[in-house]
Amino acid sequence: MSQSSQKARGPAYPRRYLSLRGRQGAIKQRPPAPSQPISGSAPDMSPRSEVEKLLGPGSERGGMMPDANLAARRPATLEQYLSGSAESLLSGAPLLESFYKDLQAPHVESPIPGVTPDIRRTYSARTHRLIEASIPALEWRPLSSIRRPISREREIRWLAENRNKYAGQWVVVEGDRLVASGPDSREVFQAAKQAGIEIPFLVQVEPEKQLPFGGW
Amino acid sequence: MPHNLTFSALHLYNSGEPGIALPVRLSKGADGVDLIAHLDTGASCCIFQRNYADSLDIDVETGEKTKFGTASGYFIAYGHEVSIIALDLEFQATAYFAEDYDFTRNVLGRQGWLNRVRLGLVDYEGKLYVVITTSIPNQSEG
Repeated sequence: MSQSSQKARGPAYPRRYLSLRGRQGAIKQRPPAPSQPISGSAPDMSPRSEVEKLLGPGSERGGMMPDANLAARRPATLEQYLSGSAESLLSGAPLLESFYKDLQAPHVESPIPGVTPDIRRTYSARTHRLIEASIPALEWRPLSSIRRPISREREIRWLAENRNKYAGQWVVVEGDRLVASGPDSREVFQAAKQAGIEIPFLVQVEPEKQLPFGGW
Repeated sequence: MPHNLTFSALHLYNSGEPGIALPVRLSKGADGVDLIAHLDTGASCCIFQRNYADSLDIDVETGEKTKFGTASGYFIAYGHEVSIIALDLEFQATAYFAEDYDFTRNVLGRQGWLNRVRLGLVDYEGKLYVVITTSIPNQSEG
């Protein structure tokens, strides 16, 4: 950042305010940005054409015009993105909340090309530490959680006992009870849903005597 | 030199069956479906029958088209971001759904599952030990 642009944005804040949480876990309050007169002359925004009269001043000079270099200026890596955000935070921009919400939003398109939603959600859980983390490590790290194990022992036992009878068919089994069966997986699945099964255990029954799998 | 590993889950499977089978849940949004998948250290990715994408209301062809090589040819599958739950672990990962309905395999492969867990296998006893990998590998280790 050049000195002139830094001056225009206001004073930089200490780097410690990049952290959302302090050592005791309390949210640090950023001091209010002191108002500073913006140096330099104001840009001429008077309408210059009929288009600008209709769309507003400046509509043909920058903001609303297609930016040919937009792709080149987008952050190509997470590091660049976070670096830009950190820079804005340092300059006192009201970015903290939107930045944090953006990272938390699970179903919106990632603002960073090539970064998948699950990776972004991983950041949000650890935002206060991830600003300085490197991208390869984050991309490698999965979004994961420990949960109650899925147990389908009774269903698997039912399948073993009834394999020959339903070989080749799609079945939904709940406990030791057959809920639906048939050649069309969609119909079988829908029948199970209509029967009130929230997450059906849907399996295409393999015949008992099948060729051993030889790998790919 | 001895090496000690610890695991969070033990799955008992029938070692008399052709593969190492374990129950898996795929979910996308509010939709979910349970199935049986096989552990496959030879598979690059997690690949499932197309029918499961139908159950999750996934438009298969909108995913990342990928050609997978096999010993005797290749097949096409499409990648979609889903939640894969197996044993006590849940991952957000790219699951590939086969283009062809005749594709009848469901496997947990390296990308998306095996590369996120530490695995212990005692096939003779039908025991599969798993724990989530929590450490980030050192960059210098490649």
